[in-house]
Amino acid sequence: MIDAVLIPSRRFLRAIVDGLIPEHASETPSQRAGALDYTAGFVREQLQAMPLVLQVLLACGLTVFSAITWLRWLRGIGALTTERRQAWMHGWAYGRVTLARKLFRPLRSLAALAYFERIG
Amino acid sequence: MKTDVLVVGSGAGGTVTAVTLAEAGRDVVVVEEGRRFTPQEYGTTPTDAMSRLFRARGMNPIMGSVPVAYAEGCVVGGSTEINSGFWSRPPAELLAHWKYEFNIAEASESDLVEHYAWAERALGVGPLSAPWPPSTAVFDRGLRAMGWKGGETPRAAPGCANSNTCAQGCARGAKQGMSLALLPRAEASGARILSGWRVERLLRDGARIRGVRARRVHGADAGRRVEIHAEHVFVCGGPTETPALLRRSGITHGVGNTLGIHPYLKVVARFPEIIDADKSVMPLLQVKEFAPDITMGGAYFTPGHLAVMLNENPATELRDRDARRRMAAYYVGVRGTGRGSVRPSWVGDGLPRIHYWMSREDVTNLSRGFAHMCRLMLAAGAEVIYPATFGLAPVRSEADARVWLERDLPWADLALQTVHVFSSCPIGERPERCAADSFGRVRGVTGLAINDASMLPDSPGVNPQATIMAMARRNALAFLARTRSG
Repeated sequence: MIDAVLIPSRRFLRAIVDGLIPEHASETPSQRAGALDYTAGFVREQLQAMPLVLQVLLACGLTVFSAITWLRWLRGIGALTTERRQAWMHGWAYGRVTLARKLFRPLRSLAALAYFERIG
Repeated sequence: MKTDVLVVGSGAGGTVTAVTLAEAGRDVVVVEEGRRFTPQEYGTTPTDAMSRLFRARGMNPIMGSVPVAYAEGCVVGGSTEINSGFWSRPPAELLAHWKYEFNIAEASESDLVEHYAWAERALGVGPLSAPWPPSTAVFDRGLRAMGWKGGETPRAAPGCANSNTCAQGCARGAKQGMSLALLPRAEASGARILSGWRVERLLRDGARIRGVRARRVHGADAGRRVEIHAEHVFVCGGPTETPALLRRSGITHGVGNTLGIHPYLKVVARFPEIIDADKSVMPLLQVKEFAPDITMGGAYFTPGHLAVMLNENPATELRDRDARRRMAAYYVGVRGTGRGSVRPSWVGDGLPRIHYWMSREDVTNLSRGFAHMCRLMLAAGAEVIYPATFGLAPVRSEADARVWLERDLPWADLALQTVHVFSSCPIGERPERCAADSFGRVRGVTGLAINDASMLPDSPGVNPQATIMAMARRNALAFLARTRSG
């Protein structure tokens, strides 16, 4: 029950993963889609296993991220074009703001682990 | 259910306790939260292994001044099922220091040597019987070029076939985790293993511990609770679960206040030649030149783990398969002079809150270790070294490396891991700082002992499994002598 409130949806996480891990010429669209689906599911299950306190902190951080995304682009992260989403995510995950980097560090690490285990 | 001796946890400490007591004819029950697997069920993907074998799927980090990713096993056999089987006896000076600092009786090198030898025989500890894989050979090249002390670290993995699945459970049954090496011996002597039961609380009659209350966490009857009554309880739940259980049960003196860790920083080196590090066991050498404060060795390498390390900085080489075939991963570890704490969960998620506050010395040692590691890699012929720390430029020259002999790495962006956690319930004869006496008997109650990594009084500076097993056997034999004589 609490998970449903605190843990982002699989669709939202798929958009985040798509933004964090750019596509590559060596991957076919179906490989990419399969890897993104798998990774989003894995990341979601991992987040559900976190201590509740960290889940709350992450939920707060992602709420702020979503709000700022809406204010900046007038749409959610899932509705941005691929290029814009990747640039936006890059700015958060690797930008100058330490808190933003810390927010996305667990997400980008989990995403990288699952995506590249899947792709090989 | 009733038993003579109840052992909570089946890791290195719990299993040694169980086998020692069962082989002496005692009635032993082992309660383990995790599930039991056969070697044939091991060796799945790293992501699958995290969900099946790791506590909280590896998602309960150590918080504090720098978050530290922490993995421990939650499976029959504990963390010995997911470690690499490295085996190190601590230096005699360290044991002498512990004796002096904590006044531990009968814990000198000469007291423990028979117990180390027993464990080494039981686990078949020795060097790799096959030729070294390339990731080890290049490390050796660097070690010899630098002229530093070091060499191959023995492992509890006779017949290792380079399958590179240590962290997923060894599917070939080469690595001697407790579920393979010692638990069958305990069972053959009559010990009963109850897997899939989490011990929630110790049962007490005043100061007398009389058993535990456990909850089923797997299977169709998940949620069912039972009480197991015992004359003697050994808590061997590991360095975080043991203090959490004791504190949940109202035992707090010296419990969970002095957690220590070995923080690790990882680097990826790219060489001119093909390494194919994901096709062999991790590099087997350790550099001892700067021990015990700083050690260096090989790190686990799969496509996913490589991506996590390189992903600390956006790296184009992450997608370059040719470059990836020429990479290997290594670690810098430090003894850990900071202190931490463990507290039970207060929000009902069952996960202990773990904190560790890095000392300035820890960061300085990590920085110096990083510089030394880069120098060694360059001497080994590495073209570039990628630190797994945000904002750090790749190291391509001796001058790049030497910078970190003078400066400290940035605290805020350190990406640290550990698999070595200990000292949360130190033993010794100094009641003001030790939760238990020299043989693990918990102060303030009767019928209760601890016998796992939590009892180590301080950082061993080397892989702690050997010391946990040796001390656990020593304590179990002392218990037998004590209880035989009434």
